[in-house]
Amino acid sequence: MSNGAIWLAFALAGAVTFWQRSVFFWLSERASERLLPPPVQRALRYVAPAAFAAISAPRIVAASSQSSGVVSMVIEVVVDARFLAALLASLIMWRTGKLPLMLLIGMVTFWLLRGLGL
Amino acid sequence: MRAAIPLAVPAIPIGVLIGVAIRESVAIENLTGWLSSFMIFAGAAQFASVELIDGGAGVWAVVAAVFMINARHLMYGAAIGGRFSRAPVWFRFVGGYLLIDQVFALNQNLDAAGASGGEPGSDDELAYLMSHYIGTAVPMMGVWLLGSAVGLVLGDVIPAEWQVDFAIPLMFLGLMVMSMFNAPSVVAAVLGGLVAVIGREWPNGLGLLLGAIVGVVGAAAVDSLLGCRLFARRTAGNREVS
Repeated sequence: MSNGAIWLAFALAGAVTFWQRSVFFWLSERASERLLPPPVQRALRYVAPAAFAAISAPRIVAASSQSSGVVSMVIEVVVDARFLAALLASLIMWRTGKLPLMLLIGMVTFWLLRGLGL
Repeated sequence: MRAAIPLAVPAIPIGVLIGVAIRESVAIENLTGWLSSFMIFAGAAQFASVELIDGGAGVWAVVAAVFMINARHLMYGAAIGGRFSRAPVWFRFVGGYLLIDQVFALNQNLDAAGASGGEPGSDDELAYLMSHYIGTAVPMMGVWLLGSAVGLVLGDVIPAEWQVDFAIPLMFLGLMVMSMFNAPSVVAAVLGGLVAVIGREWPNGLGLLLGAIVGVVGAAAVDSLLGCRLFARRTAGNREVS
């Protein structure tokens, strides 16, 4: 692609993204009541946990799994620096609600476990 | 602003990595690439478009891929946009533009009425919602532009073996825990994570999108089956909607 075409690609991709992000900011109260009735609004409360789990899980669970058996697959996933650090970090998050603390302990645990060869 | 710090800091190395990807790409001029941080302002979508352009893909292939990768923002907008139905026009532009994952996370279950001292639906509440939104979004934008500029100019300043990029899934995991408030929200997270892991090799972030959709639909089904007060934790933004 030429520089101009790359510009165009970024600008169009940006326009699409802007539309996706902002379209619901433009609805009037009436339009949003029609488009998003109470049952839909109840469901939308679950967007955050579902989306954030979907973003994080694939980068926490071990990327390659060659094992065929269920047990060995589970062991492969669990006995892993990323998984164990993430598990400890989410427990801390659940108990304290402090994101900076969770990140600090999660990263330090991750580095320690990797140092141990996990 | 302070609420944004734990989210802004992990975004720095990812911004740097975007900068490095643009620097190392053959086809993309540095300034054009850096402007993608302005125009698209979304990590995964920018990585994918740099890769596609370098691989010789056409304009429409890039646009279609970005559409897919960023489709989850439609759900963010639907979940949060209604709170701004009386906001001024400038905010509809700026707020929509800045609605990235982290900004959604920090603003979706905010107890604005309580924090501002105003009634739900009052001008005080709206003013608080807007200033909190802008105050959390602007630092994110700042570190993103700065991080990608650093990566572009200096190259790989963070040794790859440190694997600092693990801070990103860790951060989203924390946001996930933060956003759980009842039993169906746990169902949402389990389903979302499961589908995304199964579909991680699927093209254009399809696993992520389907994971989010399946998680929301599954949680809503459990919610309506149970009536759902199980383990209900009071978070003001997630007030029961009857």
